[in-house]
This record gives sequence, structure tokens and C-alpha cells, in this order.
Amino acid sequence: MKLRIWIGLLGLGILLGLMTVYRVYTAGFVVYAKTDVLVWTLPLGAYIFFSLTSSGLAFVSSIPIVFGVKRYETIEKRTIFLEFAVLMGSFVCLILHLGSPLKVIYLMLSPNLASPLWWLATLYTIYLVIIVSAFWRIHTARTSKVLGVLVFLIAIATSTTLGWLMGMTDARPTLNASFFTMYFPLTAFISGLAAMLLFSLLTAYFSNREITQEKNALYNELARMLGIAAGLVLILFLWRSIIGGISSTAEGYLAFKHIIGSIPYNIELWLGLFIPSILMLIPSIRVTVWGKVTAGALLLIGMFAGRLEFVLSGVVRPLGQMAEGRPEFVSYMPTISEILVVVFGLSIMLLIYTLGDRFLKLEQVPE
Amino acid sequence: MKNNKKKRKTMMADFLKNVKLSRRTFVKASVTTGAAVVFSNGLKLEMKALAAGTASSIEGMGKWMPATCQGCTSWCSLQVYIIDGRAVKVRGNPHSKVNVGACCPRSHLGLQQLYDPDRLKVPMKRTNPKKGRHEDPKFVPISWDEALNTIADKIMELRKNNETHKYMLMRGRYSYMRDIIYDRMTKIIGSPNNISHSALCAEAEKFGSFYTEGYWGYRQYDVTNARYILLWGADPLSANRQVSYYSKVWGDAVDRATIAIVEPRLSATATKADEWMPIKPGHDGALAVAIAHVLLTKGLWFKPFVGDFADGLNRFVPGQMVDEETFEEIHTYGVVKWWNHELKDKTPEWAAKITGLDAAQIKRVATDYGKAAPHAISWLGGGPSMQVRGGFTGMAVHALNGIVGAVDNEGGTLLANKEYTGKFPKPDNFIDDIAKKGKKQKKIDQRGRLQFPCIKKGKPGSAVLTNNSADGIIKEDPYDIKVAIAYMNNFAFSAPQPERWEQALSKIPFLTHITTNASEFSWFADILLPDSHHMFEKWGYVKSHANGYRHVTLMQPIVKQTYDYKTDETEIPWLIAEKLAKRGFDNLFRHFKEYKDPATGEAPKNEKEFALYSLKYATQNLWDPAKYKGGDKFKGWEDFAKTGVWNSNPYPFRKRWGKMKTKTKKFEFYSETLKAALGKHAENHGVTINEVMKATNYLARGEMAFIPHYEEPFILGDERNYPFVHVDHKSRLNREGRSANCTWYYDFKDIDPGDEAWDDVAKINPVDARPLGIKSGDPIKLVSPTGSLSCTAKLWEGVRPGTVAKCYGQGHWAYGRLASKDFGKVPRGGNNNDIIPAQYEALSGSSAYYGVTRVRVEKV
Amino acid sequence: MSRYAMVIDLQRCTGCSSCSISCKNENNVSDGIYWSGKITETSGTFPNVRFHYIPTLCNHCEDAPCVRGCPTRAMHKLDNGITMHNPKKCIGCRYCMINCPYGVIYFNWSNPHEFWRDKRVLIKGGTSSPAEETRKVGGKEIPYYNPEREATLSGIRAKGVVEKCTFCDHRIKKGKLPRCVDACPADARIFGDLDDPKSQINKLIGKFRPFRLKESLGTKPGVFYIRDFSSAAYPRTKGGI
Repeated sequence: MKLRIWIGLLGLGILLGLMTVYRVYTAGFVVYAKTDVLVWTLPLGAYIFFSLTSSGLAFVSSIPIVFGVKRYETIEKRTIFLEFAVLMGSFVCLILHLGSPLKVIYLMLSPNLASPLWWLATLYTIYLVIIVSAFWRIHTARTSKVLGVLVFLIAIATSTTLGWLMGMTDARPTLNASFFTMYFPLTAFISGLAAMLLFSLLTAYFSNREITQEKNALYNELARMLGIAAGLVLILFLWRSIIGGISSTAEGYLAFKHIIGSIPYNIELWLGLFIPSILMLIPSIRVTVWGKVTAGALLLIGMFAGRLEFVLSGVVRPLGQMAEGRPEFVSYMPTISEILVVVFGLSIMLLIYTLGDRFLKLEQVPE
Repeated sequence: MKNNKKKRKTMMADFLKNVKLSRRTFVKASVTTGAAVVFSNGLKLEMKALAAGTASSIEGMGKWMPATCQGCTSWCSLQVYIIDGRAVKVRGNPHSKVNVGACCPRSHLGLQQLYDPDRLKVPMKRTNPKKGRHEDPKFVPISWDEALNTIADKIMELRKNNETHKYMLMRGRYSYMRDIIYDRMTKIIGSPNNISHSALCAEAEKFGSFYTEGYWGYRQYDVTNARYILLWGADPLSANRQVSYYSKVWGDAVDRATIAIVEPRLSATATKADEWMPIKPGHDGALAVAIAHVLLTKGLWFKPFVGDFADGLNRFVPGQMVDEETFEEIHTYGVVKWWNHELKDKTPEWAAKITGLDAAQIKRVATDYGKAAPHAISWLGGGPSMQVRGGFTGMAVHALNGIVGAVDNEGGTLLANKEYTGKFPKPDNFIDDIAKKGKKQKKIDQRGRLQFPCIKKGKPGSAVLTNNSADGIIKEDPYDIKVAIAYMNNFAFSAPQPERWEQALSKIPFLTHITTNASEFSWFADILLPDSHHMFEKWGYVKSHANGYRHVTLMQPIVKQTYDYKTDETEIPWLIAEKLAKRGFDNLFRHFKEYKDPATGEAPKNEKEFALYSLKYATQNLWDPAKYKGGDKFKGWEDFAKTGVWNSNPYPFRKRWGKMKTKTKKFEFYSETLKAALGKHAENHGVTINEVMKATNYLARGEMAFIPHYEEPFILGDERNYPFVHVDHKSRLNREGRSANCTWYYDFKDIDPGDEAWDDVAKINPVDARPLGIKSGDPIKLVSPTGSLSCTAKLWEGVRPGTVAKCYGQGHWAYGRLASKDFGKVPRGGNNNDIIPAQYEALSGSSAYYGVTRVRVEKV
Repeated sequence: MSRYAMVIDLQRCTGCSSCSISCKNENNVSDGIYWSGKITETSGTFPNVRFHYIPTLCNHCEDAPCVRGCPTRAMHKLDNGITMHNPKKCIGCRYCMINCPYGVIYFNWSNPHEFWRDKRVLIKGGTSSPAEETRKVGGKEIPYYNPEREATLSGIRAKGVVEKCTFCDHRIKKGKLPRCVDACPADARIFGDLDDPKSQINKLIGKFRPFRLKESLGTKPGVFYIRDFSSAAYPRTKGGI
């Protein structure tokens, strides 16, 4: 019964998503918070969130193979599947971000190797192939060292290339761009950890599955890792604010002042980094299921806000002739359609995961 | 969503139909030429004209055809790029020596006017007998025949009842074909009431030059030879006149001349000036006389023009009277009188207090201006003169040209060159007794009454008092108007206090409006006739001057007409004449038959031939080699039509020195010409000139009435309730208030400094706005003693504190889907005329637009 | 090979936007999209105020960041120095808009020329609708449609792709100047070949000290500005304490 309601909800989300797709491709992108300045908004932010979370999950799933920590094998299959599901969610958001998604064929017909975006697209395609293969291997109860390493490498490649994508935009000092080649993989990792914990624990809870002693210890270990990593990211995050806020050019400084006051920034800082790391560094909270779930959920919410903040920070300040007749910073409020794009991506991801959990024996441990 | 899908489907279908249709219309057009008897000849002529144009310049898929732009009164000669009978782009006509191949931004908007979806495509009649602002006229389409029959019946009724004077013709944008409908038709029907829009335009501006140098018309300014250009409320880089020409050469003028501009708002021209003098609105006269004061005290007058003291000693000492005998004037008259009566005390310090300007700046500008003599222009715009007491300001401003000898001189102010167009046949033989009697009646605009001297060219009661006609109609004073025809005008929008027009028009039992768009004026009409567009669909000509030349530029039907529009000044009068003839009154028709084709001697057989023949008739001296009188020479009509423009001989400098058309033949600082004119008016009414001054709201008494002088402005509203003075200005994109239905108008509205795209803003200085708690973007209301309007606030440094500047052009509640927010109901933006009171510069009859009212700003 | 570039003489420029309007006309550009635009500024406080105007357009940068970032080479350089866009290959990612420091690339958020798609009629039987008008006149999407644009680019760009100034490459091909240059009533735009030492633009670049927008970014723009929009004189002064 519960499952039916759940599937029904997801079905509704997908239906709304499909309606949005129709709106976007008939009425056009005016259904988004259209201005010539805000060219990248919520759908792209959601794409980055999902894709980085997927990369982060890849880091987690490659622990047993790349770092040889055998006991993590128990969560490997679920994590890889989750990677796949999340990646699908990210693709949904990406497609709905693109003006002419059908023309992506030109990525192959007319490649530009100098473009980080081309590399990103290529890497994600490879990534998809690899995780599907990796999952297939595990599903068929085999492991492949090569695939595991590849997953790890590609996760590094995708998350850092996303940083490169921004690093090249000299036009937009507000993106504080080169910083992200480091920040992305790190935050991807904590997002992956958080997602892994959240989904494992919630799945166990809802399917009334007993969490074994062994697994519980593993989760606690991961939770501690999460606390430490989130703490480190927090420090990095603060330094970014300080450097951006104090030592940069006037242009960057102004933009930073604007960003620091924004809601997404503060959600990322407090909900996404500060509270989770505190929660996970307090042992008594860490060992509880609700503690881990709360920390994981908050961190993911925070990261989601962070991705949006990151995207917006690049575009809120109009450049050149686009600044004509506009304020120094334009404000942004997502439209319903934009929110529905995220709902669509999320529903697809959750549906895939739910179905996988039901039919693909995600608890299975490779031999 | 369903609708959307449907929309897409039908769009697809439409598109496919489109492909087929365009082919079919081609075929149909050629078939009609052969088949339809009445129109065949006309169409052929049109085709011939098209063919004649073909040779002009072929480029790519289309060809450039000559045209004329009447977006403002610059009247530039243009070329239009035509592909398959469709207008695609415009450019300046390289053959014109006036606009020399340049065309200003507004000219491009002509394309969007031509293909305005809200243009009337067929004649319509009103089905709701009730008339009013809030009465939907419920127009329904009718045939041309029905429309014309109805009009003819109504005119015949007047003729039958011997009350032809109750017929009225109102004119808006015109070409020089105007005399056919405006003069001949009105006269032959038998009415004195041909009312033009001229007094809404710039008559007071002409007043300044007429009563100093005897020239009633727009001046041209030799800017490329000038060393100093002092502009007064004129914005030649954005509005009226010769925007194209001045845009072309301004960069060079900037190189050679110092440019100063007197204007409470940082105008487009001010952005490129050396000195901006943000004067308190209405006080221009004080600045002008102070500059004259400096010029005289510093001995900077141009001696070869004005003359000198016999002994060479400058006796113009501040505060001291000068003996007239000591000064020997050459080409001017009354300089010492001017000094003694007005200038001697008008120091820069005195003016600084009044004008709110810096005394040092006044001195600097005056001195540099004088040093640049005689290549020093004092450029009078509408701003200082289209005011209640603007007549004398206009004279004072223009008189500066006299002091520095810039009149008729290189680098100075020039009048129009000679041109040789001819007049249409005289109507006299066709004016019957009924008409003669009707014609003798007083005019509906009440011109010539004591308080309305309306002295054009020295003749009292000769200038039109456009805006007062509304009051005449409402009060039935001198009588009621029963039948009116109006063309290309929109007094219910373009005249101050337009609600009076709403009332007046509601009162006229039968009103016909010839117009391209269903405008505010049309709202009160009984019959609407779809007018052709002047730039692309009409035979006609206009003349204008700049760059030391005058051109006569042709309007020709150069596009395939989308619908059956007819031309206001020629075709429609012909068709009405035909209908009148059928009703037994053929005088007008017989008169029109006299407009014979000069080439063949043939009389016109239909309205299209009439339109063409009358044009050829009027311009024969220009294109007929046998009649050549000067300027460009053509081989014949085809040659002229292909070129599209005739240029005059170059300007003959200094030819008028000593031969000016004033009473004294000289440039008058003491206007004997005005003295005579005012005297005549006073005599007409049996009063003194002082009483005339009083009646016309002027403060001058005695000799001052003939002397350029400063008067405190007459501004409506008390300062406490209305703290700001309203500053009206025009847009670079205004096509006389007719571009509000063009998307480009809004997309580029921000090219007027301070304005915003897709908005209608009132510009307020931040110093004034802050205490009111008003921010940029706030919706506000401007309220004057006579009305209010809604718009958006814009805080801007480029406007004088204590004033609120707003551009004219938006605020239509009709005209089109874009012009109005809700057609027939809610305006988009605000119409300045809603807050401008119906006041007049009574000596010229001009409506006062500037420095005439105070306003308050209310947050909405 | 030529390397096309433009000099804009700000002193001649009157800020009238004829360039931008005629550009919209030539290239059938939708409302709200400006291949040719401007940067304006009102500086100072009353009464010491000036308004400044810099006409802008695609700079056709030699080292164009939009080209570097485009994943499908939809945005590309032509041999003659023009930065060109091919909407057929454009996936609508808007990365070029992120990369362009000048804000001159626009995205077609909706169907082009919405105004002219309207099928509503203002006065039944008496007026037409925008869609009907276009059809009757024989234009394409807009009545004053310029088919010559189709020579090198979609006549009207579809929803979902970006667009920008192409230096009127379709006109250059036929030996005609870009439309904005042609249409400038003030002759403030001078067009030519940087590789031709005798070209008018090289004469002007040599005569004045031209500036280009955001030169520090190293994009090497092909649009050069000379002289001042408001080159006003002022009374000589040493100031004071």
C-alpha cells in the first residue's frame, strides 16, 4: 500500500514533469525566469547538484576496489545503482536546460575539443556507460577491478571538469572560478556520502529491513567520514568567502557581498555544512539513525542550494550591453516550471531507485 | 494548452496558405489591371511609376525606390527597398542635398506603421449613435460606395439648407497636395472652416523671426560654418527639424563650434554640448536679454551688420540711457531703443537670479557667442516660444542673431531657398452664391477676436487657433458644426486638454475621419475611411530646407497596397466630388477636371489619375525642361519621379541684408512690423494696443509691446499644491505621436536620454524624489490643475530640480493593440496633453506646451 | 585574407540607435534582442551632468571566448575574422553567453516575433491581425521580412538557439557594408580590413589612440572606438584647495 502511494506520488511528479516538457517546447523558455541576463538558473543548478552527487556516490562506491577496503563491498551495489539513478535525474534537468537538446548529436558531428562543455558531455556519456557496466558486473555477481578504477577516475574527471567549465569564464569574475576544480570533487564526495547514508537508512526503514550490526558500524564510520569531510569543506567554504569578500577586485567584492546576503548561500553554509558536520562529530548523535538521516538530508539540501547559488553568482550581475536598463544585480525567483523541472528530475531518480530496490537485489554483495 | 496546440496547427495551415496566397495575389493583380474598367488606368499608371523607379538602384533581391518621410516635419527624402512590392527597409535618398543620404532612427519605424496590423483596412461606420469617451462606437465595415454616398448626402443637406459654413475640414499631417481638400474643397462647398493643426506645431516659433526679420517659417542653420551654436529648447539631434541632416554633420559642428544649449532637461543635443544651461522653464527671455546686454556692453555686436556709434565709442554702459542719434545703424533698426527700453539693466547677475543659472556661465556664453560673430547661431526652438508669453521670448532669442550679424550669413541663421512648385487651379469660378455666403461666416476657432489676435505674417486673424476650435464647437460660438471631415489628425490626443475635443467631437452630428488607425479622434467619428500611408502609398510632395538647400521631395505609391486604402488629399476629395456631382452639385468635380496632366493635357478620369495629374501639375516647373527655373534639372516627369527629389540652387548669403520683409526693410530690434500688426488688430476692435496686450495675457505696455523683452512666464497652478514645473519633450522615435503602435518604439525608447525601454517615465531629480519617497520604477501620477496622467517614476540627474520632465508620445487609449493597454479603455503610459492646460500664445494662436503648468507627483 | 573590423567614432555618434534599429530590420531580429546595442551612463550630479553613449555590437574578438567554449562549434570564426554562429548546430546551452564579456549574445527564449503571431483582430472586419497582415503582405513571420539574410543564416532564428551580430556577413559577401554602417546617419561607423594597411580603419586607428572594450581580458576585439561622445570644452582651470 505504502509503495503504491509512493509510486503514485512519483508518477504524479513525472506527469507534472512531462507537462512542463510540453510547455517548455511549445511556449518556449519563457516559462522559466526568463531574462537575457539569467541564462543559467534552477534547472542547471539541479543538474549540477545531481551530477556531482552521482560523482560523489562513485567515490563511495569505488572505496572497496580502489582503496581495497573490503567491508565496503556490502554497500557497493546499492551505491552504484544510486549513482545511476541520480545521473538519470541529472540528465532530465540538463535536457530541460538545453534550448535544443535534439541537436546534441552535433557533439559528435562537430566536436570542439577546446570546450570544457564538450568534455563534460563526453565524460558523462562515458560515465554512464561505465556505471551501467559496473552495475551489470555486480548484478551478475562478478567484480571488475578495471571498471571500479574507471568509475573512480571518471568521477574525478567529471567533477573537476565541471570546475574547468567555470574556470574558463574570465568574463565572470563573480564565479570565483578556479576554486571550483577543488571544491566540486570535495563537495561531490560529501554529497555522495550523505546520499548513500540517507538512502540506505531510509530504504531499510521503509522496507522494515533489519540493519545488521556490521552494516551499522559501517554507516557510523561513513557518518564520521561525512562529519570530518563536511567540516573540511566548511573551512574551505569560509576561506572562499573571505578571499572573495576581502582580497578580490572591486567587481568580485561587490558580487560577493551580494551573494553572501543571499538565501541559497546561507542555506549552504548553515544547513548544508555547519549543522551536518556538528551533528556528525557528536558521537551520541552520530550513532543514531535519525542523526545520520537528518545530517544527510540537511547536507543534500544545503548542497542543492549551494549549486543554485553557484550558478546564480555567475549570472546575477549583467555584463556589457546587457547591463543597459538593468540594476547592478538582478534578482531571481524560480518559476513553477523551473521547480517542476527539479521535481521531474527527482521523481525520475526516485522511481528508478525504488524500482531498482524492489527488483534488483541491491543488498547483494559481489563475490 | 489545448489552445496552444490548436494555435500551432492553424499557424501551420496559415503558413501553407500563405505560400499559395502570395502567388495568387500576383496573378490577381495583373488580371484586375485588364478587367476592372474604373481602376485600370490608374493601376497602369501606378505600374508605370513602379517601372520608372526600377532603374533607380537595383541591389540584391529588391530595388531602392524614392520616398518621403513625414515622421516629423524634417521631411527627409528617402529610399525604400522594395522586394516583390513589399517594403523591407529604408535609407536616406542620396540625391537629396538637404538630408544628404542620411535618415534618422524614426524613419525606420515607417515600416511598422505601414504594416501595422491595426490599420483600418476598409471604411467603417458607427452603429452606436451615442458618442463619448466611454461609448464603444461599434464600428462595422461598409463599402467605399456607401461611405462616400453618406458623406455626399450630408454635404448636400448643408447645401440645401444654405448652411455650408457648418461644414468643417480638419487637417493633420499634410503634404502640399493639401490645398485640394483643405482649401479648394472647403471653399467650393462653401465653408470658412478649414482648420489645420499648425498651431499645435510651432507657429509661435515663426513669430520670433517674422517680427524681427520678416520671415514666417522655419529657419535653417549653417552649422558646419558656425563657430558658436546657442540652442534654445531645440533638440535637433532628436526631434524636429532636419534631424537627419544635423545628425550627419553634428560631429563636424562639434569640431568647429562651441555648442551651448538652454534646456531644463539634458536633451539628446545637450549630451553633446559644451555648455548645458538648465534654465528654470519659462525664463528664457531673461537669459536672452542678458546675453544681448553683455554683447552690447562688451562691444561684441557685428558692426558691418548693425553699425556703430558714430565716434566708435561704446556708450552701452549698464544702467545708462543712450542717445539714439549717436548710433548709426546699417542693416538693423532700433538697437538703441531696445537698449534703452529693455537691455540696459538686464545684467547677467539679474538674469542669474531669475533663470537659476550661474552668472559666470551666462557671461561666458554671451562673450564667447559674441566673439564668434557673425558665425554665431541663436537657435530658437519650440521650448521658449510655445509658451503663453513666448512671443516676445521668441523675438528676443532670434534678435541675438541680429546683434551678431548671423542673419542670412555664413555660419548663421538662414531662411528657405527659393523653389518653383506651382499652385493648383484657382477655385473662384466654381464658388457659387451659396458657397460665397457660407465662406463669409466667422471661423469656428474664434481667431481674430480681441483675446486671439492670431497674427500670421502681420495679418490679424489670419493664423489658425487649432485647439480653440473645440471650444467653438462646444459653445456653438459662432455657430454649431454639423458635418466635419478630418484627416490624419488626432486632436483628441495631440491637443492640450483633449477632453474638450472629446466633448466637441461628440457634439458634431456627422464626423468623418480619414486615418490609418482607429485613433482617439476616430472614436467619435461616424465614418472612418482607411487612409493610404504617406511614405509608401501616396502621390504627393513636400518641401523642406537645410544644408543651404531646399528640396522638393516626392511621395509615390511604391508598394503593393494590402487593402483598398485611398489617399486623403487627392483621391478621397475626387471621389466625394464625383458623388456630389451625381447629386446635382458638380462644381467641385468640374474644378478637379481642371487638374490636367501637363504632359498630355488630358483631364483626369478617375481618382488615381487625379492624384497623379495634380502632382505633376503642381511640380511641372521642376521636371519640365521647358519650364526650368532653377535648381536640379530633369529630362521629364519620369526622370524626376525616379530620382524622387529636386534640389534648389545653393543659398545666396547676405542677399537680404537691407531687403528684409519688415516695415523698415531692416532687421528690427524695435518691431515696426509688430507695431503695425497690433495696431491693426486694436483698430479692428476699437481698443488700444495696451488693451490688446492685456487681453492676450501679456504684461507689456506701451513701447514694450514692440520690443523683444522678458516677461515673467504664465504658469498655471500654485507652487504649494503643484511644486514642480512640467517639462514636455519629444522623442527621437516619435512619428508625431503615431509610433506608439510600433514595437520598435518601445524596444528603443531608452535612446531618449533618461527614458526606459518598454515604459513611459517621468524624470524627476533625485533631490526632489527622495523627500517624496519615490524610487525609480514606482508607478506615479502627475497631477496638474487641469488633469492627471499615470506613468512610471525615473530618478535622473539630467533634469532640473523643481521640474518634472516627461516625453510626449505614449498614453494612447486607442490607436492600436500596443499603443493602448486595453483598446478603447485603458491607455499605455500617460499622455502629456492630459495635464497640459489649453492655453495659447495668443499673438500667433499657438497652443502653449512648455512652461505652462505646474504639477504634483503622487505615488500610486 | 581579410580581417574585418570596425571603428566607431564616438564624437560623430549622436546616440540615435539608427544602427540598432536598422540592424533589427536587416537581420529580422525579434523584439528584446539587440545584435546592436549600447552602453549608456549618466554621470555627475545636477547641474554638472553628462550622458554618455557607447554603441556596442559583437566585437568579433580575435580570441573569442564564446568560440572557445562552444561544445559543437556552432559559434566559430570565419577566415575573414568574423565570429559566426550556426544555429543548426546550436544546442542552446548558453555557455557562449556565460563566456562573452560584452553581453552581446542573446538566447531565443520563446518563439521569435511573438507580436506578429497574434491572430486577434482589434476591430472585427475593420482591421486585420498581425498574423493576417504578414500573410497578406507576403512577408515571413514579419511583414517587412528581409529574405536576403537567408544567404548565410536562418532568416529568423528559432526558439532555443542563441543569436548575435554577424557583421552582416551576407552583405559583405556581396560587397556591401554592414547595415549599421550604411544606416548610420552620422557616418560614425567605419568598416574595413585590418590586414589592408591602406584601409580607412587603419588610418583612423593610427591617427587616434583607439580603445576597445575590456581589453584586459585579452579577447582582442575587432571593434575600435575613437574620440569622445561628449568632447566638451571647459574653462581653463588649475582647480583649487
